[in-house]
Amino acid sequence: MNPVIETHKLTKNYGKSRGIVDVDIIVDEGEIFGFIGPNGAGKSTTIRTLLSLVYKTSGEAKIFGLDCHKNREEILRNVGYLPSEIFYYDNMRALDLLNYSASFYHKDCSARITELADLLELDLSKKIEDMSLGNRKKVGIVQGLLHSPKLIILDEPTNGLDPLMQKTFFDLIQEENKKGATVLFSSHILDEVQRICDRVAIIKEGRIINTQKITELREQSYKKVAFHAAQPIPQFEIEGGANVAINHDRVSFVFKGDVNALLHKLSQYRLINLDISEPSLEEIFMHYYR
Amino acid sequence: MSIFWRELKINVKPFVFWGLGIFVLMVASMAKYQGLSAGGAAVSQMLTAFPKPIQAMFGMVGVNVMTLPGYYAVVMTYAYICSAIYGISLGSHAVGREIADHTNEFLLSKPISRVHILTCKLVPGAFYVCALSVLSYLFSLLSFSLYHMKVDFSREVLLFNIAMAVIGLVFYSLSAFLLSVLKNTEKGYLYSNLIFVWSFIVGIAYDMLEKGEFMRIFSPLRYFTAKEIVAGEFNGMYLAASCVIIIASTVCSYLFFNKRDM
Amino acid sequence: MNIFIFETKKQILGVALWTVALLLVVWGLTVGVYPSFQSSISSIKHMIESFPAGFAAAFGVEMSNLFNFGGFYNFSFGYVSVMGAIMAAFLGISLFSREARSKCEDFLLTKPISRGTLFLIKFVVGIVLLCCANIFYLIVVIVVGSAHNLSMFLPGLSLLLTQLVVYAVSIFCAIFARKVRSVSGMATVIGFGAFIISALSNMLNEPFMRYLDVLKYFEPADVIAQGHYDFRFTFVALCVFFAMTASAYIRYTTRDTRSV
Repeated sequence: MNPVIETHKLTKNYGKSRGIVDVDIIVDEGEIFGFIGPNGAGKSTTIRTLLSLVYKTSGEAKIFGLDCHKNREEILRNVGYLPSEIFYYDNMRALDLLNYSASFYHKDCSARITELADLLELDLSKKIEDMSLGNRKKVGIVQGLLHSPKLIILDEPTNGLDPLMQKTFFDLIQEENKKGATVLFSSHILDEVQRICDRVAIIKEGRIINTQKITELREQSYKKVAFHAAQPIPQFEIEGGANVAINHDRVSFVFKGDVNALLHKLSQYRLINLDISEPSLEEIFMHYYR
Repeated sequence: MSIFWRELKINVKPFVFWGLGIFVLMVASMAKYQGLSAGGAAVSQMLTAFPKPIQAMFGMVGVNVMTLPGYYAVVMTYAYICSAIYGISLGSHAVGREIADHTNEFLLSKPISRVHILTCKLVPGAFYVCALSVLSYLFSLLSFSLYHMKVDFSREVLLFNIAMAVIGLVFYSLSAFLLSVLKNTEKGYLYSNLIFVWSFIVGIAYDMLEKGEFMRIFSPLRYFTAKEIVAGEFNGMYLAASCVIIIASTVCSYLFFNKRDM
Repeated sequence: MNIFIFETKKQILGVALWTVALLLVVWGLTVGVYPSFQSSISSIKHMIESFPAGFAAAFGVEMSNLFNFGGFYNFSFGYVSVMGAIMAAFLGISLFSREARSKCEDFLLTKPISRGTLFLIKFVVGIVLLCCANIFYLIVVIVVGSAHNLSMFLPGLSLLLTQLVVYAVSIFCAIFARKVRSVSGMATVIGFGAFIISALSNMLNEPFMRYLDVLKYFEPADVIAQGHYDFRFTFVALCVFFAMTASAYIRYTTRDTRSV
């Protein structure tokens, strides 16, 4: 398969503040690629560099096998982009904005606009600045998809959308994907990435820590375990446990492995409380850092 | 009070910039005053008797620009313009900046009244408008002594600079009022600046037309004419008009700011 | 073409209204005020002759040109050019800060069109609008001038040429400014800044000040007296125009877009 996005040691230096360093990602044609990391990790910077909104300091970035900077217009013709913060021109109705957007692609998109707006339950006659965050986001989604792009880049697309609308949105993205579109999608919420992505890249402090198939990530299903025992616990060890923290009679750790072994181990103590939960993204990152 | 200090602080840089401008205006322009020549005294009487458009072409209506007070009056008309534009920029930013930057919700969600917020924003602005006039006054005195000019009109110099502050405050309060009333901040900025351009044009018309007296009320830039100040006084009616504009628009700013949807 | 139409639509009302205001001012001065000015001239002619020669020049009017229509138009141009400068500055700033002001640079810059083309289209929109406005201005000025047997084409063209220089300066300001909060505020500062510099240049009568005096690069008095613009200042104007436009262009096409 041809890689749709390919970066090699892509670096963006913002002077004092951190940008991204040596980012290598390959997104294959037809996949939904997730890009996760905490706030300020460099997700947006990577995306904005790919789109030539900001210019790389060094390294290489290619989309459709073309250089992101040199062949910018050719690439952008087939790219749909949803920024993380949606702002459009003042004093403009949604429909006017979308028609203006469509006019850049030299094809008739009016049917597609109505179709998408109906699907997302969006009122196109309203002025954009009077819309709520969620509705502005919907305008952004329509704006990103109206020309049926081959590559869809979404920067934190779900914030502002209610859960029902999130589902509609993900269905929409998966449908576009089935039609052949490649999707790059950034988020800080592991759950939504797990829901639709084929592969994910994890970025922290400007560097890619790991690129993994979602299926592998699931197999590795880490659990966060915390319990409160009746007596003080001087020492705690378990196979598959990591980041063990003991505080008198309370213990917490990240666990990966046989759940039965975990339960067997825990049954040795007289427990007052037990909490087994999905680890936060941050805790998974801590694992990757070791 | 933290709002107050913040407002004072963020306006320091523009103030320095405007102060430099006033400095250049005063010191540079006074350098070229050549003094009253022998024939000038006779001309001084004739000039003021000329028709208004001709006087306007000579740079000033109602005073002789060849005398030092007349020359200074010309310089001060440009200082009036600076003060007015500075007032507009301060007044509209005091109310409009946070709305335009979408940071107003931050302030409005703090446990302080809107009256308090507006006061903390309006007072520093008014302070800077007045401070620019104080600077202008000091720079005037400086340039007089720099070029060894004998100034026998120090009262008038003071009056000119007070007038400059009042004109600044008129435009300051008007633009603060417009920004409080209008929902769209860009419109507020636009109308504030249009009022200024309007009073500039009406001012020209007032200067040029023999029967233009009625126009004066529409141009705050002409509320304190050189002729009256050189004669040693303000026109009481227009001083009162300025005060009415300042007070009325400030009161209305509070009323509308308190009620407006953010 | 779509951007051209879009931007023109956004600007045209303001330009049209401002053009009407400008025409009213120039008409009011040259038709309304000039006759009364002319009628009072004869009564005071001898008084003016007794003035020191350097004096009148210091305030923008050459003594020899004072009495005719050309001299009066030159004087009026001092005010007309301020209004023209504000109009040009408003256009330039509005066009080139639109996306930054509404925080939607991402929108326009992810469209399949190069930044250079974007700059060019916006630039042309301003030029076209200024030219259109000046067609009306020229017509009015030429008609009024013909009543005084004066060819007003070149003196009338001064406005457009001055506006083009201010337009380039304002584009430069819009692109290099850290943030444009108010288009009208910035335009007013540019317009009246130029006016005060012009006034100062008049008062000081220093040759070097005229190089800073944008409003007088194409002073109508020069054309009326010599039949052509002053070559030195035309050259300076050209330099300013190209330097400002070129540096704005380079910055526009190479800068990193700010994230919101």
